[in-house]
Amino acid sequence: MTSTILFTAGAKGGSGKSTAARFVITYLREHGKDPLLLDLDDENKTLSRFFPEATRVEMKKTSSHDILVEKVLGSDQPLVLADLKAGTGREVLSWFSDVPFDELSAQGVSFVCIGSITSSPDSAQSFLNWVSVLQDRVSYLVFKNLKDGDILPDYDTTSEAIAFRKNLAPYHVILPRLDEEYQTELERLNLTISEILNSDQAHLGISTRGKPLGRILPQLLVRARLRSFQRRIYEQLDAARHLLPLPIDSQEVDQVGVKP
Amino acid sequence: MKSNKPFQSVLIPFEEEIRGLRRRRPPVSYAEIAHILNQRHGIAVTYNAVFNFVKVRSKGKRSSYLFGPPWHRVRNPLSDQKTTSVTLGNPSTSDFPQGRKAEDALSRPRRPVAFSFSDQYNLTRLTPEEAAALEKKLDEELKGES
Repeated sequence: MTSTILFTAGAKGGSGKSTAARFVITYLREHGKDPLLLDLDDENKTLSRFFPEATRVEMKKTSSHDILVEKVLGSDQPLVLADLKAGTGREVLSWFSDVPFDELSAQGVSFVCIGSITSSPDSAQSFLNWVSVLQDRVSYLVFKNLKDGDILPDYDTTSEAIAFRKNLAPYHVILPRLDEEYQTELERLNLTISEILNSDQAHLGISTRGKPLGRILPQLLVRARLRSFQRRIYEQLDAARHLLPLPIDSQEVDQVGVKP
Repeated sequence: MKSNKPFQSVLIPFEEEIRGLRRRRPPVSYAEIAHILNQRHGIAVTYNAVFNFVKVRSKGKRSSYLFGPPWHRVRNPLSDQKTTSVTLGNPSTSDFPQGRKAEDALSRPRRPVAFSFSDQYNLTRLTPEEAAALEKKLDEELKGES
């Protein structure tokens, strides 16, 4: 059986790693996959805020990351998504240096690195730091996050980033800037777009998880814009199915919460 | 005494760079070009100055060397990919690629990247022309290997 470990990467906080992870999670769930969620960011706990069912991992030492691999080996959990901690990245990268990728690959375990790049030079620098260690041992799903600006010069026109894009063939998803008011509400209320749109009580201000939607998000036109926004992201993830992994020519049921 | 030298725009040395930025699809806005010139070269110009600079050089030519062919007929550099429309609520975004086909991604050769881990910024910024040249070079190298 093949297993996939998706993990967020990049040391710079606020670059949108957890946002990218949220979209991947809701996309997977809406395509019948239910990844095991691991929140290894014991400082911010961002993933857990939006997905309380995520397993929180206390990062007492570098080997605490072993849980990423332990959960797929010898278990019936073929898909894991881990939100790693922002920071210098050296500790977790030293852990990755010890991972026997070849041996795991022989057992059908693959890794997908989810990165998020903004217009900040630091976000490109910190992500490429990770690439320098991970190299071609993982696949890459890179979100180009336009939240701080439409131009990403340090990812588009630096020689190192160009070499990464050409040599390691990352898959890209462009994440446009969402209306600031909507973004604020989503963050404030710990809501994913998916749980708003999939709620049959959204017009009453209640999410699929029974959470309040506030004053703005239940509005019909707001939900229409969120649906349009999410569709743009999902359309791009459709073309990355092979990474997630979903069958390329999937005939799976696309109903919410229905596993194949 | 008044100088006899004709007026010369401070943007002349950056004409190629400006052309490259305007030829991107979508074109970089004049305001953003002014910002980029300020960041890269330390020159302070308004977006209006950039606009006028471009406009003067395209006077009388609908498809000038600065603008290139009408953009809606320009082959998208990622032309094997679908584009999607602008997301409502974010007028500054533009069409963006859907992504390459999964089969292409799976079959494409991969090779390591030479990059040194650093806590300090150590990326090498290129001009658009240099970036395009490097991309072309790497594409040819990869084509030779596959």
